[in-house]
Amino acid sequence: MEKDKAKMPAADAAQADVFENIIDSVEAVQDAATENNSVLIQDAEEVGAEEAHANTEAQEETAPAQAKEAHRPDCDDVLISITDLHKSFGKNEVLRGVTTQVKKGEKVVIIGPSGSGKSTLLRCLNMMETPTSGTIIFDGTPLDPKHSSINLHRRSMGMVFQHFNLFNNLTVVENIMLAPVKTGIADMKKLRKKALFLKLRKLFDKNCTEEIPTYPSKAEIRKKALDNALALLERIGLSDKATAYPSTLSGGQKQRIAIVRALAMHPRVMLFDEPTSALDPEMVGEVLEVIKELAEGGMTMVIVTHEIGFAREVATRVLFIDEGVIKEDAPPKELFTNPKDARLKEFLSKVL
Amino acid sequence: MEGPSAFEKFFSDIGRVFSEYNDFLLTGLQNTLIISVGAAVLGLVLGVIVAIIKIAAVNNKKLRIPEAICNIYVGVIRGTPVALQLFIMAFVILAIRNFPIVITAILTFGINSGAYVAENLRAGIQSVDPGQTEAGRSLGLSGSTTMANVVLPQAVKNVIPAIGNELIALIKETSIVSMISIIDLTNAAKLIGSGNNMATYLVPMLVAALFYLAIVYILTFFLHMIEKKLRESEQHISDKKIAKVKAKTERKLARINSAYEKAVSKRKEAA
Ligand SMILES: Nc1ncnc2c1ncn2[C@@H]1O[C@H](COP(=O)(O)OP(=O)(O)OP(=O)(O)O)[C@@H](O)[C@H]1O
Ligand SMILES: [Mg+2]
Repeated sequence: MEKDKAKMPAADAAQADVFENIIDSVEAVQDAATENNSVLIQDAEEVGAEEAHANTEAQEETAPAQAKEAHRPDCDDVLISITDLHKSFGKNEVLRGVTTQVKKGEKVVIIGPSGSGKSTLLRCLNMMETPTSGTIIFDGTPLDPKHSSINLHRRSMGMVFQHFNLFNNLTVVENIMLAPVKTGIADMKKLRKKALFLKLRKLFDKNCTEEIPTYPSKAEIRKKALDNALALLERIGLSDKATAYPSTLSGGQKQRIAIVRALAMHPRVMLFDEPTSALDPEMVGEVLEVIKELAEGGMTMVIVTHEIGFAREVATRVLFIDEGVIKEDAPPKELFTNPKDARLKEFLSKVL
Repeated sequence: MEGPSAFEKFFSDIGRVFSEYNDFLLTGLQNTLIISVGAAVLGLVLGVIVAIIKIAAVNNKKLRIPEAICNIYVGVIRGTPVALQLFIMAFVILAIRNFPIVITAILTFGINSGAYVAENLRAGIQSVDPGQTEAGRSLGLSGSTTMANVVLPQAVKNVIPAIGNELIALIKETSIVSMISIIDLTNAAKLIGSGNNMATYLVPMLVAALFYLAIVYILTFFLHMIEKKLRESEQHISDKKIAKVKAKTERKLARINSAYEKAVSKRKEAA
């Protein structure tokens, strides 16, 4: 029977590793063509995001150079620069030319009627949706959904969804740790490969002065991710839920955990897509509180929301989107008290 | 008078089947198990590969040809009888002198069940909320890491019942290997029954049936166990379960801590 048991259908954690190997080899084939020498890419967390991005840029000589040039001069404090963004789903043109910039530390709130393209715009920002045309420059680098560096950029762009999307198969602490551990180990492997390569090279080439990189062990990566996850849970007062599955939590708890799961990657910007729309009214407050705290800490944020009171309080700038274009773009005081666009007036009269 | 004697004869026949023909029965049982387990493993591996290729091909034009091959494979296997597949394998493709016929059977049933496993798994993967993938990708995880750590565990949970059914069906389907003269459980029973001393099919057939039942029950037992374990993350779990999950997760976290401490002390020693 032992034998029989050992050959049972895939189910265990051990089996997951087998899957991973299979899939990895599938992906290796897929990626072989697209992936450049990603050995250069280092952990944004460890080395400092600046340097990591510098490295990425070095590889992106093939990327649309004109667009990059055009936005070089004023990119000092601009984190995200969107130029003439169009997005169509088949014949349905959802975004019809969106141009705007998000500066470091800004809290941009996006409002607009249902179906106007708010979510689509937000999803284009981290390439969850591929734009039909137009460019998005993040921290000086044009985003290209086909390039493998997109995963690196996404690490710096936290996203919070309307329906939380916590990983159902993992406990809370595992939800928060998954991405830091997996990306940390992937980076470590690249560094290890590079170190090995350099050591070999130094055997034959005495003139090679390149420094052999050091890299953390798996134990260190896991430990760091665990400590960080527990600290984040402490911060939102949910330490006692660390070992629970998401299905046992309330909506408000889930969303707070989803927020810190994104924070665990130390993002440079946080994107929120209606973070409180799926919550019972009594839970909206606790989630907004966490977002407010984050805002006060200086995080750059782009928030799609229908909570006008919250927008007034937190936003440094409000965008009104309608029919796929930005109809009005102003600080909250001005936009809410003195709206100019007719559609915005109509919209505000409905939601206020 | 006739009743009790028939009854007695029945039991003595059962005894005879076990004592006189135990070699025969064991060979049959062994072949059934070898073919079933071999085919199940092959089927699961093939099924996972085919399902992943089909899912990956949705977003990747480079996989169009592998996808087409997978589609033909699944279509042909599911569209033709397994007995025919067995004959084609034994008498056409692997009609090689001295080729081990049990391997022929394993390949046939493995390839056959791979197609069904693939379809089950593909449906299971597609039934997982796309929001799960989105969340993984938005954190910067690669498609394959998200698939392996988030989507597949959930998909597997959903398809365990269906794949379990497939495995149970597979075990019983292997009984047609008598058509290519392999002595499996069914064929052994038939041969014992037609032997000159026995003069009855009833007793050996019943014995074989008991063996099949036992195998299927044991398999079902393990499937239920796996299913129960995988349901841990689902809603409305009891306090006892919550405590169990808590203890298990805490053990995992403790392992992370102790591994770290070990690494630190090792480093100190080295220094
Ligand atoms: N993946 C998709 N495929 C096809 N159409 C889509 C897709 N995603 C969005 N759309 C369409 O794009 C339009 C804008 O959708 P979007 O979700 O951006 O609106 P929204 O402003 O976020 O609205 P809401 O306030 O309801 O969330 C809608 O008409 C929608 O049907
Ligand atoms: Mg939306």
